[in-house]
Amino acid sequence: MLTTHPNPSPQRKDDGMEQTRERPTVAPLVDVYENDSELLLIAELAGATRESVDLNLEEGALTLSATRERTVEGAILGDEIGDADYRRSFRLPRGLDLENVSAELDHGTLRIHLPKAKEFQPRQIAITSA
Amino acid sequence: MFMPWNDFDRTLAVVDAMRRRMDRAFSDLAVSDVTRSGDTAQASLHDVGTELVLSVDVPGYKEDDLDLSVHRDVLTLKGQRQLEAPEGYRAHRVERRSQTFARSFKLSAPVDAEKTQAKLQNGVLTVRMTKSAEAQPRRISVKA
Repeated sequence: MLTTHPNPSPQRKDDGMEQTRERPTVAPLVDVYENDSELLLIAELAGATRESVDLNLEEGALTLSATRERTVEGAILGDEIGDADYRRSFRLPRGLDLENVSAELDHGTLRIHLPKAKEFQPRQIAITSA
Repeated sequence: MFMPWNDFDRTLAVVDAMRRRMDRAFSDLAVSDVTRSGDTAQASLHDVGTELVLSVDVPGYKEDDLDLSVHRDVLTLKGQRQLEAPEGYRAHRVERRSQTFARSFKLSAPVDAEKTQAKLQNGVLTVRMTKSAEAQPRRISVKA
């Protein structure tokens, strides 16, 4: 599910090219939180399966993409949803431990944990009186 | 749903205007939307012969956050979710919001409430409703 690219590959570079498929690309809603040990991204991905979610870390950016497929057959009486691809990229700050990124999908909500590298985590220094 | 159609004739233009009105009627899925904003709880309705299937996007909602009721040919879905920042984190960007919504959908046929099933998976609520006996599709033979 998680792919990291140590060497940037030109094929996957986001250069603003247009999609050739008719499926719309939707930017999911994302919250970004931080505590002393990690950055936490929470994305809303209704209809996306675990297999369809792809996280790509490349050139200091995180690209989140996922696909939703319509599973219901039959005649459409009304449709506000439709098939769609989710996609969103975030520039990441320095000092993250990108080897240990983890993510979980639950109730259509993806939580991505980006731990901070040890040397960037705050340390409590005890102050002793002389 | 329909292919675009150019007004090359007055008669067709009238038909086209009608089609547009029907298109709008189809896209107005819900008969009532209470306190619903923007993209909240987007839905689609399918007719699969003996069943009607309603799908509603409710990412982040748990089973207990949703309330579903069916009466003859009207289905009402209410939802409420309270989102708070995870404990001990500070927020850099908050796009997801606490929400309350209520949507009522007029179904194209009366359904049997007893046989209605709802399932929440991947943030999508799927409601399968069996059409009541008189609304089941029947074959009618065509006579000359």
